[in-house]
Amino acid sequence: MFILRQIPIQLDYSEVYRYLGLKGNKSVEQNFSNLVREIGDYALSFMEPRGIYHTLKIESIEKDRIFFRNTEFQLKGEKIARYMSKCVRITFLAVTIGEEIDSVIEQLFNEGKSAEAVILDAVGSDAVEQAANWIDNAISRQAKTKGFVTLSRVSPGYGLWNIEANLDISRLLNTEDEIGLRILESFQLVPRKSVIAAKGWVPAGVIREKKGGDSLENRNT
Amino acid sequence: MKTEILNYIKSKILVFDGAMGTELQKMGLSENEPPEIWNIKKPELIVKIHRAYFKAGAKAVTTNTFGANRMKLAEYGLAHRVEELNTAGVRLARKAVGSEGFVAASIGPLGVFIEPLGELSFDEAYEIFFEQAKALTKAGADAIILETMSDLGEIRAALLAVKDAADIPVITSMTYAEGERTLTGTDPETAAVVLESLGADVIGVNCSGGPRELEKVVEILCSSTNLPILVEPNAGMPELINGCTVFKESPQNMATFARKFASFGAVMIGSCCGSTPEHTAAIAGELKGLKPIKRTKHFPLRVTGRSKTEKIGGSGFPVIIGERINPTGKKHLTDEIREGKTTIIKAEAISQEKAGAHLLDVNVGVPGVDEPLLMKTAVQAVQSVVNTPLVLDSSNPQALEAGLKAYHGKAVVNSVTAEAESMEKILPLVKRYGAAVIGLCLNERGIPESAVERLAAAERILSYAEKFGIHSQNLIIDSLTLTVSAEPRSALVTLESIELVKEKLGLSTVLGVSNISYGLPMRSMLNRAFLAAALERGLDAAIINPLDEDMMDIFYAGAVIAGRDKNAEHYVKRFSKIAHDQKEKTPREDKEKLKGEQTFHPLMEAVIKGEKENIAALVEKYLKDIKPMDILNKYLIPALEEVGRKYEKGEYFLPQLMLSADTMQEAFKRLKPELEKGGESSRGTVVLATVRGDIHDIGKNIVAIMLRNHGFNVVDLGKNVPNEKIIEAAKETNAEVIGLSALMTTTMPRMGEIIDMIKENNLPFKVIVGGAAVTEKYAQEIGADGYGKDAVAAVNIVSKLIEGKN
Repeated sequence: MFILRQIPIQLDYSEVYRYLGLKGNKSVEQNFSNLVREIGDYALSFMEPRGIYHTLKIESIEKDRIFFRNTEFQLKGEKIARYMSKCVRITFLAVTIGEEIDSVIEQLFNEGKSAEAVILDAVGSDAVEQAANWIDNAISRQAKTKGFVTLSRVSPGYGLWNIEANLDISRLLNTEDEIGLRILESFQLVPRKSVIAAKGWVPAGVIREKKGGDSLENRNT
Repeated sequence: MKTEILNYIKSKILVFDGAMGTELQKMGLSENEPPEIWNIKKPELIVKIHRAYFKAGAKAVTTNTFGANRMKLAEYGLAHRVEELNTAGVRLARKAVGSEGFVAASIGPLGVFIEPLGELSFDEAYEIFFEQAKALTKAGADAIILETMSDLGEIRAALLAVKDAADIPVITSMTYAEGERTLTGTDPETAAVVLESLGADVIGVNCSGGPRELEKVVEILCSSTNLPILVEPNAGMPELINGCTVFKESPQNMATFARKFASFGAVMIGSCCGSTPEHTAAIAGELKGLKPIKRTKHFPLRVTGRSKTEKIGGSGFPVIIGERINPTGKKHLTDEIREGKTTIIKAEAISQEKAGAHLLDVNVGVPGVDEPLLMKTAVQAVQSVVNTPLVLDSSNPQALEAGLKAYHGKAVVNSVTAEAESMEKILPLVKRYGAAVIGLCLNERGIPESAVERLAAAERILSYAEKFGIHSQNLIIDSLTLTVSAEPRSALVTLESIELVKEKLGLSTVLGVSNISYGLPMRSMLNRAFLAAALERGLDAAIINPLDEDMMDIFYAGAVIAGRDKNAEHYVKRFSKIAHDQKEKTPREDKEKLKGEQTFHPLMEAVIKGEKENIAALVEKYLKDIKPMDILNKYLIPALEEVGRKYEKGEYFLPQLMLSADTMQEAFKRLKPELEKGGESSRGTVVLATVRGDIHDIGKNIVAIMLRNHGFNVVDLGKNVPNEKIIEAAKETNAEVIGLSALMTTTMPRMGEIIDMIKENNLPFKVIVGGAAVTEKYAQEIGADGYGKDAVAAVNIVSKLIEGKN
């Protein structure tokens, strides 16, 4: 189990603009780009990107579930089992940037600064993605040195996989105690800007690395 | 110290062996046991592998002790066997090569992240490495090799531990990936600077990828340090085929690259994962008879963050040390430091780096706090948001040590004085943690009055520093700035001292500038003049406020005048950008006018452009001639509709929509009392809520603002609201419409339940739904009256629903 207390992140502003609905290559007026950068810098000063991940070795794969060695934990669901069918290991990960951002967004709305609020919300969405990407990269590198390639990470609740799995993974990783990430009855993640995902390891000789993913990532925005 | 291995590479290239782990796997090592246990269980196989490499031409073999630390062995219940397994590892290697070969004792990473990234403290990591290094040295290794390290923080702790535990050469080798960066972002030059400053004897790269992937890293390492360089690539990138790990790089290709690495200046060359004695034989054959290339490059003082190196002194561009992380005279920062928080500190770090600071001073010296703890916290916090190297500013040696341990890079210590007590406390820390240090020209009698005496103080610090084994290059002298109003000649003395220190001692210089103007009006003028003069006299580093743009301008101009900015490169870069920004602004505005863009009434214009600050005054102005309801209906609402159109056409993005909405709200605040006087009523009441179980309400908040701006009375119940409460609120407020928001498939069913409750009880409310996963089809299926794909659409639908009713 790897626990990360302070994940170093750098914002990808092109993604922040995408979350804000900026289309294509459209340019942004200087005053807005300044405002976005200013809010990005401000957010970096209080966000607390934390994460946890753990890799399990697969024991067997059935039509609708995957069993792992030395644990009762199972990955359930036909589509996800099919997606992971060539894997021999799966890393489960969870990240969050903390709850403070939610209260700051709320405060901005209350102060009549809704433009700032929506920008901060987009910044938070990118920040949690960047934190997840950091772990994703660490997993990929680890896998690569052992002769594996990794599949794009996938999250519960995004077509392939039932959202209920959020709770199973949260329990597996003990996210509430370790990084303060809990799951509501509705299987939503709290803090709001959090990600739970899984990343499969495939022997490098079996499948070539996919570039750019296949739109299966969880963006918990 | 045993120096045989270092003597050898003075005249010959030392061939290292190849992989141990993959060879053990071939012999049947299972993944349920650590490789090191075979040092006890199957010693003959370990000797056999070492011998095969030795016979193939490896002059140095690496022990089977890579993971034989307390932490990794604990995973197999073997934590108590650290000494036994490491001792056996060294003995087996020695048995294989005798006195003809070198035994390099392997220490690998701990397999966890250390603070601040992870949970393991510097001291815990240090203890674990120390224990392993002690056992390896005691068993008779010729050198220790720290290998496959991917975190600069971890290898710092390991190197310090090994230096303390062992009196044998230390080889430090990191692993890099795409972009020539380690996992935690360190580049080869930064690694070289940090590891050299901490006393590594050899610096290198191993694993990472095949030889091709390492080429650039080796080239950078060889040009970043004059220390010997080690290279051990994998035999290509591994692939798992039919359950077996396969490395495809041929021995001949590895050998060809080995020659190339030697041509860059590498003197220890071997191979890593997937390689075999055949690879070693090819490498040894290729390198036979080659002489090491001598590298004698001159480097200025270099300090680093985790992933950035800055040069100080020499004839290069001077540097700016940002001074703002200092509680003196700053109440908010003082309060934050007392509370152990770091929000302001991080914000100051980000803004100063953005403004152009090359280094950042970190001072948390508030009376009555636990300064060592806070220094550690501050250093970790700052390093989490910027790459800029840090200057650790304290007179408390414990605080400095805490900061130096926590720091991932080569820091500057601020500061030591020429007083014996200060030097004896501070300089050992500087040496131990491989830092640079600022020396203040201050002795037991205070600040010397003349420049010659200040030079003497600097000389004294230099001589002490050398006594502690600190290279003169790591000393930066501060000639000290005194208040010119108190002593008119003081500025000249300081300037003369800078010149003398540079001339006579060849040391770098630093100065805190702003003290010069204390007690005088227009302080910034004096500060700027003094900075320019100091740069002309040879100042290398200025401690200033980088957010003071005038000061920064003078710094850049002064560097050109002082001949420190070759071809005015930095100056042109700074000022051409400013000139470009100014130039850009004017034609664009002209162009817009020329295009004959549609012109609007100033009230509309203010809302469309989101001029929040001006709108209240504008409303005030037009209220004199226009009725409040007309202001709303003829100008403000049409302006919002125009903004909505722009948003729908993709001309505006969300923040622009919201800025216009905020502007509208400001206008509405001023109009509301006037409208109420005239008895104007709202366009209808809408109850909004994010349904039970759902905590995502940003979309609903945006809709609320937009509806209010369009003259609707909005009752916003917030998020996670029970069905019954929503119905009750609609009844109580005589709402026409209920707007429901839900993000997830798990919470969307609440919408249908509410619609059913309305129908079952024959209630008069219309329902509009929206949210990330909600679709028009879903809205129809559950019987909603409308689907708001976004806030603009929601306003249109609510307008229609209410107009329809009316």
